[in-house]
Amino acid sequence: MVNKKDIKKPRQFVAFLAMTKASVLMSLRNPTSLFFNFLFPFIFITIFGLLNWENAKFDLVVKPNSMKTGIVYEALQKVDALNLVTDKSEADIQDGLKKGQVAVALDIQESGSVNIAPGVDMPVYDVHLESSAGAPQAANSITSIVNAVIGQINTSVTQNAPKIVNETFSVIEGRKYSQIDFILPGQLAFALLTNALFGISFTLMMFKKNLILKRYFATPVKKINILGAEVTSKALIAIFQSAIIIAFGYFLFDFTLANGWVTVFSMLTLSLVGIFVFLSLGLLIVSIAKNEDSLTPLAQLFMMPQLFLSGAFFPIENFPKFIQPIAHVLPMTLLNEAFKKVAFEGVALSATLPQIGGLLAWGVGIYILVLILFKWE
Amino acid sequence: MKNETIIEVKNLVKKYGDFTAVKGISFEVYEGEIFGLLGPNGAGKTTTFEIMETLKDETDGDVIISGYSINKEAEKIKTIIGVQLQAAGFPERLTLRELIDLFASLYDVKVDSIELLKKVQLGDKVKSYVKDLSGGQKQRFSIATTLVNKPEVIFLDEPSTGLDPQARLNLWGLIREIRDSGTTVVITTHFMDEAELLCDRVAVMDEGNILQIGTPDELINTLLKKGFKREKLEKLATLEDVFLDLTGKALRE
Repeated sequence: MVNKKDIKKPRQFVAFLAMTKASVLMSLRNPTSLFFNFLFPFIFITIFGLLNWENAKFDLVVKPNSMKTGIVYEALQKVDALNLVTDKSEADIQDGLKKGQVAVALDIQESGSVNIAPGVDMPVYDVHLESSAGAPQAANSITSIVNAVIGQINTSVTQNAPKIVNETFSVIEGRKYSQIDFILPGQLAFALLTNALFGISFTLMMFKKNLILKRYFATPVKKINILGAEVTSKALIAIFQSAIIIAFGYFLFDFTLANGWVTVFSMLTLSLVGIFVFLSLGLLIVSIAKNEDSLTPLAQLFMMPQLFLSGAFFPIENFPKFIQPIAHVLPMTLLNEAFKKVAFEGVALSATLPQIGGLLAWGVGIYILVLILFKWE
Repeated sequence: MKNETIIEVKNLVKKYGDFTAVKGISFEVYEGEIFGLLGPNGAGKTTTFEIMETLKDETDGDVIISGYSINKEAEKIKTIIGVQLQAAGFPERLTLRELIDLFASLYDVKVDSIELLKKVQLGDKVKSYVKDLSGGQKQRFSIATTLVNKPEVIFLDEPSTGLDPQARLNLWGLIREIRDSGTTVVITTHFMDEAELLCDRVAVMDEGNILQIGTPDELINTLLKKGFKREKLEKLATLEDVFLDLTGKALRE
């Protein structure tokens, strides 16, 4: 028998890095993936962006018996994108909501007061919005603006002394929301989801079908590193894609970056968390698909509910009550909410920890499932 | 020269449910030879191959390659063998050079990819994609990927299937070169002329058993000793000789 020779154990990270690099090269050289990764979101945003003309305003109808004073009302008045309509009767409003002519009706009532500092009381307001299922896009946008304004008021009041409240308002006053500000976060989440679902599942199915995975198994590379390299390369490309979409929105359509580079960094961090979860869904698809024909339907199955229920396109409030709790915990909803918070409300990344935590919980759970279900041959 | 054993297959059994694909076979492959595993479809060749290649677990028995046991030290065996799978593809949109570098990294070794591609006569294709290669070029490239880790043994599963006679001749030349440079080659084939001309020793397999092992000449003599006679006397040339005489031996691609 030939003598045993000493064998140096191959370093796995060398294999991992090489596979990641190869996978990035493959994606960048693939015209289809290039189109869906970069051009497609551009086209989408451009279409929405062009729909947005300079002075587009949303009508927010104020109910006749609503308060028309107080900090909430005044803050809303100062929002450029909103036009507060006060001349409609209750009957007109209800009729308009049914027909979709009134997107959202606003009702503000004072409900007591709260002590926020020694000797300082602030009134507490109940703000109720009624939105129309007949005008989902406008309702979604208006609701987002109002939520953002309320969010600002609440954080400034609870975190700071009353005097600073006024200064914070001046920020709201100066902030101009445009249509792109509502569209871009949702589009970004949507682009990340579709690319993740389709990209990694088709790549790995091809690897299986062409026995490329099997060929790799005959080498010392660990199986987990093959998946890890795919996930890493797809995530790198997704981050690049997010950065380009944000830059595109900012330079061409005046997408609002509330805190400049901090907001960019926050959005890219959220993109990374989101893509990590969405890629796990892509791996789950390829784990349960019998062949490449069943990939597309399965991807649609994971994509469609998230698309409709995430609030990126239609407000969650419009869905039946029993669906809403589900809608709120879907990964894309969490990502969309987090994007809106940092981009739109300008809050710190740390304020989106509930969303990030929820996303990571999804991710860990699904990756464990993938490791159990993934069929290597 | 004494024949040193590099692969020892011991009572190897592979069962798929109730079906036994490999029924306790034993054989040895010597260092520096071209060893052919022959047999009709379903004989158990590929299963035996895949167990030796660490791609499938054995049900019983063992395979020792260069002193390492397949059921205990598969990870080590992976580093000293090279594997060419039948009909396996490569990742798309990577050049031959990039693929060679990728495979080298999987073994954590450095390799002169251009030199290696020249060795398999693909020196002018370093920047091509696999999909743009001819059948013969693909096979030669596939063999090149098995050599990145300077393996002690390479396994080639039906390497000449689908090739024209010129490409086949050329491939045999390459396989002999690899053997002459010290690498043991184990191949499977359906073509008996290939086995006779290329292999130093062959094992004939059917229904999960090894029927006979020896050099091609030994196997032929054994048959003749049993009194076998061809009905028609062997012609002094074959149709393949005619084909190559008419079309030349130069490689077409």
